[in-house]
Amino acid sequence: MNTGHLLNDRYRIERKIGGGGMANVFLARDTILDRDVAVKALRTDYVHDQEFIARFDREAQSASSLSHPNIVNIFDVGEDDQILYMVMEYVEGMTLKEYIQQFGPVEVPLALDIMKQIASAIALAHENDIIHRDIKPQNILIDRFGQAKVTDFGIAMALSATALTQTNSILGSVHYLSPEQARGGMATKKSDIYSLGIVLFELLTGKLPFSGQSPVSIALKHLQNDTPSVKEINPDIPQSVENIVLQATAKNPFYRYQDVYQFEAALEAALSPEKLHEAAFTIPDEEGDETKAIPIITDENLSADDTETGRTIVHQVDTEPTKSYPEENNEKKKEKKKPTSKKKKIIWISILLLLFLSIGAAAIVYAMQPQDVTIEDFANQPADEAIEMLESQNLLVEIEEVNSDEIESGYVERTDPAAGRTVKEGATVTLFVSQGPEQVEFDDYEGEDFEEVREQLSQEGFEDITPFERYSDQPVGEIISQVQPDPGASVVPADTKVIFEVSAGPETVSLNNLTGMNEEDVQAYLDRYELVLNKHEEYSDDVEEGLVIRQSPESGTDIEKGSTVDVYFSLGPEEEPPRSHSVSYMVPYTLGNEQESSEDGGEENEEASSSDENNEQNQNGESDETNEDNGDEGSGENEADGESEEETDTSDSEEQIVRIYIGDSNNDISDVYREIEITEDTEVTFTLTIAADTDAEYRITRDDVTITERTVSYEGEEE
Amino acid sequence: MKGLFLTHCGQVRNHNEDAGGVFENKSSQPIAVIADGMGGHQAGDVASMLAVENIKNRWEETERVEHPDDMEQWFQQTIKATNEQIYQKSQENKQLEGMGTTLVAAAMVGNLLTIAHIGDSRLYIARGTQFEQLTEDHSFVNELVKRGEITEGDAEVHPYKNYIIRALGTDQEVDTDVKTLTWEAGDRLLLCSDGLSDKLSQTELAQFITADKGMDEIGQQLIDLANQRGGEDNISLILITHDGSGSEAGEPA
Repeated sequence: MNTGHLLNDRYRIERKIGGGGMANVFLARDTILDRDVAVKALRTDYVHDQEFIARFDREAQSASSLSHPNIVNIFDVGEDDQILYMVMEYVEGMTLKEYIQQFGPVEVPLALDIMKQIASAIALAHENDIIHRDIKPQNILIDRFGQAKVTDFGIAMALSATALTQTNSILGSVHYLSPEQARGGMATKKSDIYSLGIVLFELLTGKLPFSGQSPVSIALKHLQNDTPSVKEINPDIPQSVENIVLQATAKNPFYRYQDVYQFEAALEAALSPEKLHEAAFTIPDEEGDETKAIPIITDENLSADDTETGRTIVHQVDTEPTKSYPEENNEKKKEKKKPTSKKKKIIWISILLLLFLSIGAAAIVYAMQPQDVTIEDFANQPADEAIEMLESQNLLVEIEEVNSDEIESGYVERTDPAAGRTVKEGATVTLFVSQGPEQVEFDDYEGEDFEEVREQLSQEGFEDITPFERYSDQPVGEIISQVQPDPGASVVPADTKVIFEVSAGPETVSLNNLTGMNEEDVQAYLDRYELVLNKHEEYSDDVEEGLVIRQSPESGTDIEKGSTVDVYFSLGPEEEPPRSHSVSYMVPYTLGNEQESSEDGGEENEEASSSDENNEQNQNGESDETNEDNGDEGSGENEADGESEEETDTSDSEEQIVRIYIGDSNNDISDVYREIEITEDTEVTFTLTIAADTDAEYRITRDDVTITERTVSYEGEEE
Repeated sequence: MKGLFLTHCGQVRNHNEDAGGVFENKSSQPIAVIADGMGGHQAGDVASMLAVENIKNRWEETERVEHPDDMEQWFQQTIKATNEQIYQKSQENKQLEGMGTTLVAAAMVGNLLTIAHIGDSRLYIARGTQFEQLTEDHSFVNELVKRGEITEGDAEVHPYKNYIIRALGTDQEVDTDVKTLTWEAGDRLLLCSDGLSDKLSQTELAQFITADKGMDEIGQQLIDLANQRGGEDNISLILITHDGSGSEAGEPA
């Protein structure tokens, strides 16, 4: 709905002030009564669900009958243009959740005061047989004057009854959900008391009693774990206040406050001086085989004593024939009732006792004339029914708790005397009541080796042991977290699913084949798997330049994240080094007479060079390596010959200009490489530098006439 | 192997948040997918559609898969990526906030059946007269059943029976159940959203699936019956029969 929308021609929408998956809440103006109201509009999904609409209507109508300063008033419920809406009192303030987040933990007196307001609202609802079913701080508003107002009565039920698949929306409620609601049972007034107890816990500590990663783990803790001590979180909280939390949140509704009035009364009295140091509230131990007496109280006494003092009557110890709790416990043990009873009905342990107390002498006379009673077979019957039956037969009942794999908890395993036996009225019959299979305490296995723990647990009778593998820095196989059961939890081995998170070692990556990829792709791939590239380059005749030739480790290797991968990229084929090629050429001197013979000799290379010419080269300082080698061979002769030639030839000969042109990797064929003047046949030598796969060429001219022109391949073949 | 996908809005909802289909990769190996979207205001259908489209597109680009390990890995990777995509979208767009979807998918590689599963959509297999659910619901109530806190009967009427504890796209990470089983000629698979499994008991489903009728007829009957019983939710199903093509299954015909 948008701002300005006029709902049902009456409520003008101003702005959205809240909302979640199921509904949105808007601030609106009631144009008839001219006041601000809050309009809660539900998802359009529900509009076609007639059953849901009827249910929603019914719940909302009954909630709107509640008028209380601590209940958000509902003014109107309706449907307009596919929008199912509820018009409520507009409360300026915040939710109690936000309040706790800002101000929690709350001082004890204030927490009790807020709780009393909430309890008084719930009490009125319960009086009208309306169960809230979803009490949580998100459903309680605190206005600017600190007044608490409860909202959303009964809506939870209407909403959860739809077929809509939902996920996270359960999270808000599951923290406050009573064990019986978690099990899917009908929510009762006592379920609301449980939720109130959790809200009180949160007010006092600023924390939730049970946390967990999933709604299931939280619900399981509500089912299995004891409510943590608020005093442990804040030692300043009086025991009397902690006791209220503990009693309201007893797993078994039977041990909780009988009704919200009792809860209110406890809040009222909690800070009175005589209460402050009362003993800690404990639930009677339901485990073990010790014999226990169960106080049995009649209905008539309940109404008088129970509601007044907040405590049920405890039988007189001195007249009680069966073993009983120590007296100092009896003071506070109003909760010491049959654990399995779901009814409000409470039974005296013995009608005789009652008769003694209330009727007096007449009963004594009656009791002195006992009748014979045959014990029935109660095996597999609920204990409360057996007690009721025995009690009606004027028998004293003693309860002994036993563990049994076959008989369900709370059901009778056997009796003593056994079924079929005859006893006198007033005799004591022991009922052996099953507590279900024997439970063991579950240890903390974190940090231990999973396989060893599995072995050990199997021997202890655990059948369902599941490891969840998770990458971690811990050694492979080590239990890194104990998902369930919690350490210290009492569990039945055969019925318990054990879940550990087990280290799978560091996260590994199965390395891909990178061959043929370019660097960009390799880098992207390695980045994706958090690997580090160590780049190498090498020549390859087969792999194109820039692509991967090989890698280390090989493809398919499992390596840890963060590892370095050596990747060898191709530089293309390796270039072979340039070769040098020496050329010697005898240039004939043609102004003299020996021209023809010299030209023949000029075709030759090294072999053709004579010692005379070599000497000439040396003197000109133009020699290169090859030439020097030649020179060394015949150095003795050369010196002698050279001297004589200089003397005879240089004086009268006309000079010819010889030019050498080289085209190789260092020189250009159009440039003169060397120029010499000769006066006789002269051998010239020079070296070509030939790059791989290229040819070099040279040309020699004499007086600008080309006398030879050659091409030399890399392999050294001349053409 | 022929597959039949049917989906119906039901009698109550005004839009269908289910999505699904049967798709083939490059070697004609089939994959069947059903997703049941939820959350946000109208975004459930976005999440389920994104999930199915993403799986379809990736599968259609995939070459022949031989080994079940590869298939399982494909599922894990694809679903992880799909989860990220849906989650990302839900973060970017206020309208889509909180959306998510269930997922049940089965890839048929010859006589191997690889199943991926998140949430409470289910896969059943019928072999002869046997009928079995191969997926374990990731639902609040099923977890309580598994831990022995409540019975299956309790679970069916539990007020929170529609709360799932794992969904695709609602969180940054997703935990997918993937497993591989064998199946044989004549086996029939049923994949469905809770709109069907909430309305028909397992025994009833078994009776319909194992009936000697054409798949089209069976599928329509199932949808009709769920609608007759209220049809509060969208109803989707896929039926696939192993037609005996055996290890050749998936070869181009």
